[in-house]
Amino acid sequence: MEVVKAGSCVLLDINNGEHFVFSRLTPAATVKLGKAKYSLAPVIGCPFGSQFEPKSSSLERSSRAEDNNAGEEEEEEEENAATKDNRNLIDDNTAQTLSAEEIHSMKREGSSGQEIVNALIANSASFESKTTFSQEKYKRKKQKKYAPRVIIRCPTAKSVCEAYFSKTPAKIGFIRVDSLSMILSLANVGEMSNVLVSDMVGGLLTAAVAERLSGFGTVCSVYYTPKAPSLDIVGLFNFDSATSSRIFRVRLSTLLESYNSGLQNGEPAPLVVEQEKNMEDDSGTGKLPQSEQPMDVQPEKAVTEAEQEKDMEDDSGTGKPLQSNPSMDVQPEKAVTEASQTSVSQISENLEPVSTNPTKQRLIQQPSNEDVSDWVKTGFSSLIVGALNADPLKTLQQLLPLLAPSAPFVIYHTYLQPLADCMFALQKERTAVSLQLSEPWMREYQVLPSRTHPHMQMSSTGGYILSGIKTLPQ
Amino acid sequence: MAMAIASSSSIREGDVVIVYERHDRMKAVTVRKGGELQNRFGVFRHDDWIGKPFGSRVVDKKKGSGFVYLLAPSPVLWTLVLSHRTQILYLADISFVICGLELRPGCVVLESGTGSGSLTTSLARAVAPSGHVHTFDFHEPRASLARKDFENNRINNVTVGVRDIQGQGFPEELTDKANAVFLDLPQPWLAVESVLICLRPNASCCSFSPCIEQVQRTCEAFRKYNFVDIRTFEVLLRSYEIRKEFLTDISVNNGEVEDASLPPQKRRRSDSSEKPRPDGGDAPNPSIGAVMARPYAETKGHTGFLTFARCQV
Repeated sequence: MEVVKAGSCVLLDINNGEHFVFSRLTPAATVKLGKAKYSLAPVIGCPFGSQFEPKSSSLERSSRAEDNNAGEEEEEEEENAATKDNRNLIDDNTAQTLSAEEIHSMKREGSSGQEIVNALIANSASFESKTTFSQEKYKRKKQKKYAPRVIIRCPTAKSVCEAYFSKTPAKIGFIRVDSLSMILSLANVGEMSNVLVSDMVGGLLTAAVAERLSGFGTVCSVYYTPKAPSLDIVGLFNFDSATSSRIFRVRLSTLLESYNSGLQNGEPAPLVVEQEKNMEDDSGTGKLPQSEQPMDVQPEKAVTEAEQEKDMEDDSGTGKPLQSNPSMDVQPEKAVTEASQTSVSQISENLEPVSTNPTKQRLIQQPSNEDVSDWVKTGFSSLIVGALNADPLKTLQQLLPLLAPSAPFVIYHTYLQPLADCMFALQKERTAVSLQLSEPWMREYQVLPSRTHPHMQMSSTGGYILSGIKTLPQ
Repeated sequence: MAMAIASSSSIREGDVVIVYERHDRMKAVTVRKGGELQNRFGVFRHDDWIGKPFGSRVVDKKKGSGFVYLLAPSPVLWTLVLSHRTQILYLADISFVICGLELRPGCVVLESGTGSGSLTTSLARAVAPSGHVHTFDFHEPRASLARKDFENNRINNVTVGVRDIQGQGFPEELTDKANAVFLDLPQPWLAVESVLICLRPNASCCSFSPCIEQVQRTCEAFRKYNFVDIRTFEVLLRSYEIRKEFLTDISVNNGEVEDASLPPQKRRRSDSSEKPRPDGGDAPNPSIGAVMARPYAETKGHTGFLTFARCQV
């Protein structure tokens, strides 16, 4: 998918990694840059990877060429490096002579962000005495504040995982992008796969598998709680119907019943679903229980500032003071006020017709009886478990029988011990081989002339992964 | 593609089977009627394998006690068993590359050099069935061996070319065709201009280099050709071993307890401890047993740096 379509979901990367927002491009969609909101309409029809900047009251496309201005100065560095240092710099806030009021009036007069940045540089007493590297850093810092930019990114397993991991990692069970990539490889996700996923991480695993399959295999998300867990992340991926027609969600009891009746009869049995004790009607009479409504492409509701902070506080759990990072938020799809109704009719003349019913296409399917008995008869070709509240050994004991022999399985957990206990039991039971307990490690580097070093910040953990291959029971 | 799911079918003649002895001892074997595998566990006849499902355990014919498992091949297992004609990429780097290049079925990927085909096998699976891998190596015999491996593994969406990408760049017919490019070359900066020509807008390139100087020159080239999102990473996997260990509880018996590290004969007898010894020996030894995990003492320190860069739109 190379061009942004109306009604699709995009990942707004504000100031190159500082802030992420997922947004569904309805006519009313906006993005907040600095203190102002801008309509996202100009984005539609542009290629993914485009950058936009505010120009007066709307977004205008801009080039990313200056991102690499470091390249032009590579030869200068050698000369300048030795002559400047910070011995005379005193940090007492007197270096900048442009006052806040003057900046405000510049803004009111319609100066562009870049003009303000240039003015700040011109009025900085210490700027000239800084090293070139230091000047670049200063420029970037001012640009982030006064000349914010937004890059329109395509939601992919990588970009979605990185966005969530950097801001609200608890929502994806702290799965880091290298961990996610390991899980997908170890589970041999690809053409003709039939992958069973226990996804309690917001749908990240289901979506990542579905992306790797793109319709050439099946992903079946199994759940065991009374109410199905959220798989909202699947809705961010703009999957076409070929892909989403192969994404399923099913209750564990349904699979187990089919498996057990197959055992008794020695052949695949027609599905018999017991009536749930609660009010949900699972019996295939045509009415879907609340939790199994067709997957709306509803983004998470936009939360207020106060609620955002509260969410983040709940997530941290360490008592340490939080950094004041903005949290992940999603544009509400239905926030259509009177005012924006008018603008919708104005904008829509220039656009392709926007789908008025974004929920028309089901993102996640309910399997038929035949689907379930087929899966149970052949066995799933691999298993991925990302359920932090479930005991890994018990989970495997339930789910391994549903796998084909020689199928790989992968269990992710944030704690090492439950996986160690699980691995020990598996070794004794001899139901699997090639057991491996691994911890992914990842480090990013800044590579710039004379400034190459690992990033100062680093993630300390991406969780642990237990993998193995099921063997044929003797 | 053979490395798709073979696990639902039975083993047939001509299949590649991964014979599993131990987690660090596996071997790829092509099944032939009348064929035989001999190892430390005994003699195993291929004829016994034919018709059995993958994942089966087979017992040797000579002693009747040794056994191995017959596993279905996958790119992960292939990377562990393939013959190394060059230094290969391992799972941590492979999986990070595939995810980082945002690969999915239908993508066209360019690769140079092919080497032993470790990454190539994984790339092929990631883009199958509708995508394609164009891989190049300047060493003709190596390219030929890689082609044989792919054929044997029934991988049919890879084209191996013999070409010096550093010197000549990618072939012109690949202009604007690539959804991703991977470089594992001694001087990847020489190929960056050609990469730019081949990449579709917003598509990414990944370059793997062991040395930081190579990385610096490559990043310089990326900047020169106006790539964006230039990021360099290192990834590793730390493996853990697990054991059930018994740790001595020194709080009993007034602080006089058996030294669990001494062999049984050298231990003094004592009656007043509460818990029995785990090995059922004479002298009581109060201990607390639990499954414990610790990292393996040996681990890889470094494989290479992975630099990603995106073509501007």
